[in-house]
Amino acid sequence: MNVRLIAAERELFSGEADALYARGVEGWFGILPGHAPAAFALEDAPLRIVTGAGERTFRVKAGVVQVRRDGVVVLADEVSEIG
Amino acid sequence: MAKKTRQILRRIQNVKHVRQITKAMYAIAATQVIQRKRALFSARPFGEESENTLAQLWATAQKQGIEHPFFLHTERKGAALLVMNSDRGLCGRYVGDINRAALGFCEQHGEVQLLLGGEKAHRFFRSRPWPIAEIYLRAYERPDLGVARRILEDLLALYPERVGEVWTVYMHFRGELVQRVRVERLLPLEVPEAMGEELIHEPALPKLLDHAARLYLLGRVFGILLSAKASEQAIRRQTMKAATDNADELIDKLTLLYNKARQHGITAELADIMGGAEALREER
Repeated sequence: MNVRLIAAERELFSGEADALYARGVEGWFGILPGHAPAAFALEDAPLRIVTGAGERTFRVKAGVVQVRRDGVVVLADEVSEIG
Repeated sequence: MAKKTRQILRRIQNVKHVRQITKAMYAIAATQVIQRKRALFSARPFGEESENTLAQLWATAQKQGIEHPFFLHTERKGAALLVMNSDRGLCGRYVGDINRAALGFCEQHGEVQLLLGGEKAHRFFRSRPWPIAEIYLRAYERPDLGVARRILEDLLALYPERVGEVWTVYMHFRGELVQRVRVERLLPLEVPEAMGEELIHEPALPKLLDHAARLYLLGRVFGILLSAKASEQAIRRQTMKAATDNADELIDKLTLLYNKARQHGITAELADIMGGAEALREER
């Protein structure tokens, strides 16, 4: 699935991913390819994107995840990559 | 005659000093335009995608009969106007165009509360009858999210309790050579039509909508700041280029004038000497 991670200042990640894990206001959740359309508000917590090349972790502040039919878009006030 | 040439020489020196300044300002503005443009283009995906997400959520909410104050057209009178102007001058039409557009808006709407960005807007409006709610002086020379957050908080402190609409006047950056004054409504929100579909959502839709709307508004305010600053620097660059070219032209004209005056002086002196020599020869 196509994932885009976009902060207010710039886009930090765009590409194919196998899975995305994040913490919503009601707890941790994961998004895998073929997920139904959805929208989640994010807690200030690490967000993991699993790709074929490995895993990347980002610290996300005040975010929203939208699962669309053509991919996943993560929007956040501030995002920084951990490690 | 010597006095006249000295005067012209002094004028040439003065124009050269001014030219040095305008040329330096042109170089600085040219660098700033590139930086501001890069920041503006980097922020664009967020603006576009947050609008798409919000439009989708709003369409779904409307299907479920959910309302949100950010989308409601209230009967409340009065508007808040965010004027994005400059702290410094020497940027040609920029300051005047924005102040004129803002004044036009105020005269048309009557009951307006002003949020003024930049010293130039503050000076223009401080003695006019419209109340000033907030002033941002030297706050966004290099626009960042901190300023955008502060402005958004101030706007949401006014809307929807004290004003029915929030508008903004700023210089939209279309390209390095094209900038236009825009008067746009920020609130109530207007998003493109979207297909409202069944969504899994967390938390409840009103709360999620509020969260997404705030993110979208932050992106919008930040985009406006970046666009205003990019336009300001682009116009300053054009103005300083024109000033430098004018100075060059003036230096050429003055140099010609100086040479003429100098040659005239030499000819007059030569005529004196030759006249004197001729007189001596005749005496002998």
